[in-house]
Amino acid sequence: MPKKGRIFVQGIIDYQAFQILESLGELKSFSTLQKETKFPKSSLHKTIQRLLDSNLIYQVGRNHEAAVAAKLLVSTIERLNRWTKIKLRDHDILRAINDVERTRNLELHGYSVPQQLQDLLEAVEDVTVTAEPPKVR
Amino acid sequence: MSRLLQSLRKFVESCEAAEADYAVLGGFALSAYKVVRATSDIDVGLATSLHDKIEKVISAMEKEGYEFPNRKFGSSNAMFLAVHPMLADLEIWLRPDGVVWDSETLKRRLRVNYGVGTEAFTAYVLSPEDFVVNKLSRPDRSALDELDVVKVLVAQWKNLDGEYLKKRARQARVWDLAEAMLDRVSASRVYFKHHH
Repeated sequence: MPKKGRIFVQGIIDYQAFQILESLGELKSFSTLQKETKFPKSSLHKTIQRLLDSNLIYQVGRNHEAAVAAKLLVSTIERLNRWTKIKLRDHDILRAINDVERTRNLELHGYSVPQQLQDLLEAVEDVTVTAEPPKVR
Repeated sequence: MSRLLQSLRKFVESCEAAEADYAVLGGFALSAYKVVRATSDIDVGLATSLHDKIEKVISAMEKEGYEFPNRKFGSSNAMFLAVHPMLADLEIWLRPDGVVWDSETLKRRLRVNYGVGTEAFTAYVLSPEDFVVNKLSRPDRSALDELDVVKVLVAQWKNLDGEYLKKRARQARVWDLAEAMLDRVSASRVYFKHHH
């Protein structure tokens, strides 16, 4: 992300601003927003003003709603949040894809999946320890 | 034939003798989705809460030499351990995480070949969609569970019923996670194809 854009996002999207944008998926009054977010009135007012100045929310009468860009931003951040819940790293996923491709290629060459499974299970069961590891001092 | 496959066959025969619905879960289900990996235990689901039916399966397995160390708790138990002196042990789940034993789940099971040649046999395996939900619903979900899910999504990408997966994942409250998995697998597949 360009430096200018990064500074803009960091300046606008703090915890309070994000909570407000999340709540403003539809048109809401100040008091409804305050009930939902439970933020103090003064800081809620300041953050709303900051979001209005940045065109991330707009005002209709006495109500507010998040702009399309802000809704997109919220859904992207939520999506990224879900990604981080996954324990796997990128290289684990690529390794998994590679494993599946290998099984598929072997099958295409006539090595059936039941045979692959049986051979693998027998190979694992037949493993015996033939030497003790060297003693660590 | 491996001791694991022999043990699975005895469970399948016992269920069929007792006319009890079942499905293979866990690592052994993977080959049904064209994924092969080594495993040291057998997870299976018994799709009944009827005490008589469960007793019938247990009796049939006892005749084959299995012991049930936690049998005394009866059908209120979520899982029975079946232990055999020579063959592999089985974990028999009555209520697998995230799986609803209704007619749709049973209808969507796959009939799969295990073993080869004269020792080959067939068994019912959980559908890939229910497998994914089961793995993601485990309270002790490990990186290996996630890896299994990724492999199933990759191997069954074109065959998965997205609507059914969404329905079951929502019921089990793991749709967020399943959606994130689908997202990441989709991105990684594009990357993999581009670089290979």
